[in-house]
Amino acid sequence: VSTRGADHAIDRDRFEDTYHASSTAILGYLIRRTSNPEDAADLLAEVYLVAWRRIRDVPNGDQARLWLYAVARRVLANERRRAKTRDNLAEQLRTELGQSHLNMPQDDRAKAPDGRVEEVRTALGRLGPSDRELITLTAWEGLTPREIARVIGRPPAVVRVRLHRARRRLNDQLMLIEQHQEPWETQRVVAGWEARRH
Amino acid sequence: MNPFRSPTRTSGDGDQLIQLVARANPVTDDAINEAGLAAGFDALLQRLMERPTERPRRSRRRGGVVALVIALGIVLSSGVALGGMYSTHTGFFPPKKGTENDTSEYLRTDAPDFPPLVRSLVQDIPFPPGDSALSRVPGYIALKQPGADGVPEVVQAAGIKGQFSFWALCAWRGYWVKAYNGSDRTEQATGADGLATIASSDAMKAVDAWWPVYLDVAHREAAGDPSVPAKMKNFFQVNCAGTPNVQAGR
Repeated sequence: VSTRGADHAIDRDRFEDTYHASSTAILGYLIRRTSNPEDAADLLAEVYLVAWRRIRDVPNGDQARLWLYAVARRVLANERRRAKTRDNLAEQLRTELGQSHLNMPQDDRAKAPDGRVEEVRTALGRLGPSDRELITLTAWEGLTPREIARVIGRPPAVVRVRLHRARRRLNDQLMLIEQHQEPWETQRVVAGWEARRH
Repeated sequence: MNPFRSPTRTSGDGDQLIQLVARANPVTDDAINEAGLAAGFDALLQRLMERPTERPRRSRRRGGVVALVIALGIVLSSGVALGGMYSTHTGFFPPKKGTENDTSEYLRTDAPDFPPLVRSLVQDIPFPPGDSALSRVPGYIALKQPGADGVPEVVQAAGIKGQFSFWALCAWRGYWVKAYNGSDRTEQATGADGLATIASSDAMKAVDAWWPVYLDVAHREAAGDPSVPAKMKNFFQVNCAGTPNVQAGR
């Protein structure tokens, strides 16, 4: 009993440390990729429920954050295709988020009245899901190509090449917007229904 | 300097571009830290740790998944080995339905017969006047080509139709909002009908559990109401970026 109890205490300590070190970053990742901040609270609960259940699989140190991004990425990809029943684990956080001023993206207009934020967001929206993911993981989460590789499960060399192409395409889209050319298409933020060879 | 206004580019432009995107971050981690969420974070932590932990189980399904991936890899690589004589029809059908796949055949996107197949699948998906599914096919095909690593992509028919249906959803919303802003009731009715049709289509239902929410929007449009359900507050802005007029307001 004492051994199991000690193990459990270690698990709790590790989980608490991991949670405190990473929950803001993971919530940010989710909020930036959902249309409603309150929903991000439920997704956050789902991510950390996976982490808690699999706490002994969670790597140590900063690698834990990358592991959690990878889980969050899968949770987000699955989210809109499931008719889920929420168990309200994050009820209070959800309420606080609803009362906060984190309602994107209207707040950005005050930040950048020249409209450049809107141009960038529009350009991002025109990228394919893969390009957009690489660009935003770099710019918003501050991840290096090697870290992104761990999150998305691809070799670092592949990530570097794809990131280079994604930057080029983003630049092209921004130039198109500057020239006031209408987009020929829109892209869905949440990718899905694509089977890939891993 | 705005990098995309520069006629010539250097290697440093990439970093400027990333900085530009960073400034477009809709919600920074600092903003979250300042949003007064500490109690909510703590409550979530406590509730999570009330749950049991469990060791990951190595089930027999894992072996099945590995076999499935290997089999698909063989199917995909065989086309290359045969000197490009391959079809979009891989002959590979996933044995089980997943969250992002059904049991229909995987279709290889770089095969010569993929574009005509896409056209046949999407040609009847309705778009607003002046737009069409077929006009978007070349862009879709380009989007689905292999990356620099050359690894072929595969999709399923439902995924193809789902993607085009989602584009149609954005286009119909934009069409209605434009009519609403212009107080054109005839065009509003056309837009609302179009959105209702696409929201309740089999193609949409097959891939998107939110179709009743989209239908709700269509019903509101039909009643002349530009509002959307709370859960869709920023939905069109986020998911339909690039589509004109998706945000109502006059």
